[in-house]
Amino acid sequence: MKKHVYLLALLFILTLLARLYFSFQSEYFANDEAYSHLRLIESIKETKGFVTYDALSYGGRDVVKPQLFHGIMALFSFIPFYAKIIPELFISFIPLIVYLIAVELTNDKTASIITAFMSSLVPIVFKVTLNQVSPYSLAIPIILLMVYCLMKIYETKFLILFVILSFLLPWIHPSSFLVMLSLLFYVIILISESMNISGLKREAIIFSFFTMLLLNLIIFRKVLLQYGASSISQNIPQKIFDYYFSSFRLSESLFVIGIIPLALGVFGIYLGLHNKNREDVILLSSPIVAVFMLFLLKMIDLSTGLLFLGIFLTLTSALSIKKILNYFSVTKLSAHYSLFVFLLVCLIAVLGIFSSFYYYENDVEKYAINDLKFLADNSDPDAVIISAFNEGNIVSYFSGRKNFVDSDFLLAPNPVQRLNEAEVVYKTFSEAKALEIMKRNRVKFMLLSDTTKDTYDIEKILYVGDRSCFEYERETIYKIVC
Amino acid sequence: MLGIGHVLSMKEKLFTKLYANRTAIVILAILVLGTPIFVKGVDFVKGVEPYHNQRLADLIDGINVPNSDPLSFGSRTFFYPVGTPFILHYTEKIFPTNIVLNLLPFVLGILFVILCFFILKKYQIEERLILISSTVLIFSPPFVYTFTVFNSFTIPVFLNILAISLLLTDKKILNILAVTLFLLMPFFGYIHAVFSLLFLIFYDLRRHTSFIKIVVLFIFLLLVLVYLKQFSQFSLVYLIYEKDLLLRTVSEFGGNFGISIFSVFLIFFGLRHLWKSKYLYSQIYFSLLTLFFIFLINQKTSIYLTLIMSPVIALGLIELYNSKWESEIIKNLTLILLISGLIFSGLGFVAKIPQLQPSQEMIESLQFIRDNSNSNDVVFSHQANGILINSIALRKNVLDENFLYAPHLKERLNDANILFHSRDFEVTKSFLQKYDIVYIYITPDMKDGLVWNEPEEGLLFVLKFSGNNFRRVYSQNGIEIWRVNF
Repeated sequence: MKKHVYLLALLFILTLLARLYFSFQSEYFANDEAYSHLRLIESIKETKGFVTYDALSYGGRDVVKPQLFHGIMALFSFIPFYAKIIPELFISFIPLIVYLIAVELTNDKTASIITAFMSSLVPIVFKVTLNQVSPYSLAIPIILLMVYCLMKIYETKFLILFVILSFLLPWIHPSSFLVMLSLLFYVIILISESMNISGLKREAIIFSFFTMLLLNLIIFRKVLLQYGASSISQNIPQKIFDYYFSSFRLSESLFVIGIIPLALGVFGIYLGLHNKNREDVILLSSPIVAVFMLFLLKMIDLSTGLLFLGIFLTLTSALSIKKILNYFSVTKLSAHYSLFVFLLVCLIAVLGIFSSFYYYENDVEKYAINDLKFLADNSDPDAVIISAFNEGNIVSYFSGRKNFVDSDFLLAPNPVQRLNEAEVVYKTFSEAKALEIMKRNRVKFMLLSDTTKDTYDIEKILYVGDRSCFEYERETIYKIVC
Repeated sequence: MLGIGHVLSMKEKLFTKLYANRTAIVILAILVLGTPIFVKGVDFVKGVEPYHNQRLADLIDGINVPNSDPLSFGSRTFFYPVGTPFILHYTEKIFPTNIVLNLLPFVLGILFVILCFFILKKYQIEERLILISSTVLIFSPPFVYTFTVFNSFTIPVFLNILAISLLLTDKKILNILAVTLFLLMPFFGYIHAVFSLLFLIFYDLRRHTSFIKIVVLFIFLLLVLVYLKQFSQFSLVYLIYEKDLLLRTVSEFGGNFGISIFSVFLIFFGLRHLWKSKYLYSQIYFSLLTLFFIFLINQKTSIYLTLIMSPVIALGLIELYNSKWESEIIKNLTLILLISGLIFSGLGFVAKIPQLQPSQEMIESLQFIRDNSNSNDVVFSHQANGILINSIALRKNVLDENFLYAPHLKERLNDANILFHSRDFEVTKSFLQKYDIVYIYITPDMKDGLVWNEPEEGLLFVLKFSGNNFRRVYSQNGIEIWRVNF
């Protein structure tokens, strides 16, 4: 018993230290989205209240976002480097919760420890959460904790915890929609399999479903009234879906989930559906079904979908690992059981570490941040800076100026039009057309970073040779002067 | 003597309780229906429908109904139900237009709630159930919409309920008045007559057999007479051109006439309770089913569906409250959640009403057309703006959302689609000439997904790069008006 506790504590500490180590390798966060959250946290700190309007995004727009995570971060802001430390601390709890779920699922502590270890090295989790300020770092542990509570719902403390978490999750992240959908699928699958949902579990599910539904309706009321069902896809324009899905390669996505979690997870579901813990396996599989359905309907972005697939496949891997360990222990090689476990852990570690760091990249390091900081001191406070949609938050954070377009499309003013106009500005050969758009939108500066070039597949802007209109202000910035 | 006194005192207490409950319900209705009026004031009329009904009322001359509507779809046969415009026409002779359009729905809504209370009491329904049922009704989005935005359902829905309550009284004169009202229903639209028939057949036929049978027959005959000409000449193609079903039917997703997700859940509990008596309540199942199917086709009928649903939802809440749960805390919390959900969907809808179109900017731009164009000029825009072009600019449109019996609807929709998306000047010119279009009216939502997604898509490109063939005569707050110069 104690051995496992020590191992688990060690795993937690190692995960946390490793994540902190990589986080502190760069003074910047990993991507554009982190800066959107960071600005929100800083606004909460400043105003001491939740934010409903962002003056910089899209030149000024309403903000509809659950902000409990940002509020918590603002509370911890007295800690030095809090934005680097706190999210990594939250996400490091994943292995602990995975261990608890795996024990419940398999009743095998060795298999559970291996699963917990595997969960700390899921590449997509690294990609989405390492060196990020992302509500996922709190939402994922909470979702996993809810799953665990549902498995042990007959103990009062877990029932109470489940009720509290159902209430908290919608205030943290819209992934509560996915949890609602998963619960719905869970109930449908159980009914279709003629399995009874026992009283308390059924009651807890009903309660949780309606709590999250009501809270989401309250938080996203404005959004729902404006976009209807497409609110679920965060109003992401078709163009953006196409942009990400066009670069979708099945082989790469499989690697992002992780080869071992994927193979063992799928096998685990197969095994689980034939054993006595079937109900729990269905519970863990229903988010997978929900994600596939949302993928089919193009209502979820690629990385969010893969993130949930990766996590829940890791959980179901526990059954496969148990099966493999049991099988090995009855073979003639059983005398080398410990060596086998060691080799299995090594294999998971090698593949996990390799994939995780292969897919992790710091986009922000590519930027000439000093160029943006230069604008903070040398431009009109009302100036608008045009960039690609996937760098708008970086622009606003470092320059403190309004961006033309960014990746937060919910309630953004004319997002489709702006996306298209940004593309026209970067890709057109017509100076007149570009100037018309920029003047209409009061754009004063134009960013041409490596990300801009990658996004629009360009090497340079064709019309900036006209020095009477475009001044080469800094390495990556043009000033519109005419 | 003491016994009689005790009975009298009991009766008095019961009466006082009933009176207090009814007062509470009326106050609640006043608060819910009065909030949008309080927020937007009585000077502004919100929603497209009041403008449409106002224009139809203006077309009525004495007791004569016009043969044609000169503005909608360029000009079309007057096939609208005449009941509402007729009443509006005469009411406006007494009260100012803005007062009628804003306050009449409010007053009728309050009376509607009182009458529903009375009807349920007449059916000897338990008081607790009446109270919950009335609350559910008041917070339902269809009720809020019907009695805050003057529309073609506001008056007939009220009259239908009035007729039912008069029929349930024991006074003959009131019964005759009720029958008269029922007989008027076909003039307000076939949906209202169908509801009257449903009530008379399923709820009241057993009480007044021969008398009611004659009334039913008469309503049916009138319905056939009023609508025979229309049904024989046109098809119901308008059903095809609606928004997606989820958006129309679920109030939380913005459907003006939608029903709440929470009420759908609760109705199952209510029906489970009723099903304990098997077929005893078959009339409720049948009317729910019929109205639900009609609702899928025409979402405006949701007020009738809600009317039947409310007592069943209330029953569902009571059933849920009385049921045995393993955790009482979870049960109570779930109940609180469901009630909050029901209230929230109603209140959310109340908040939405002041934001309904037309905005002040739209009114100003349409008034610009009215003041700067000839009375025969045709204005082209998306069908969502068609009614406002008719009603505020007082000019002909090419398309509007009144698809029912619209002339050459499919052809016009196809032509509009080509016109919106073609970048070929000659193609655009031929269609503009086909419909004699003089003005093109463009709103911000048209440029942001409703019609176009790109700044120089289709017609926007033609307008911009066709030299003097088009002239932008108005450009404010994202609204553009282009004049055709050929």
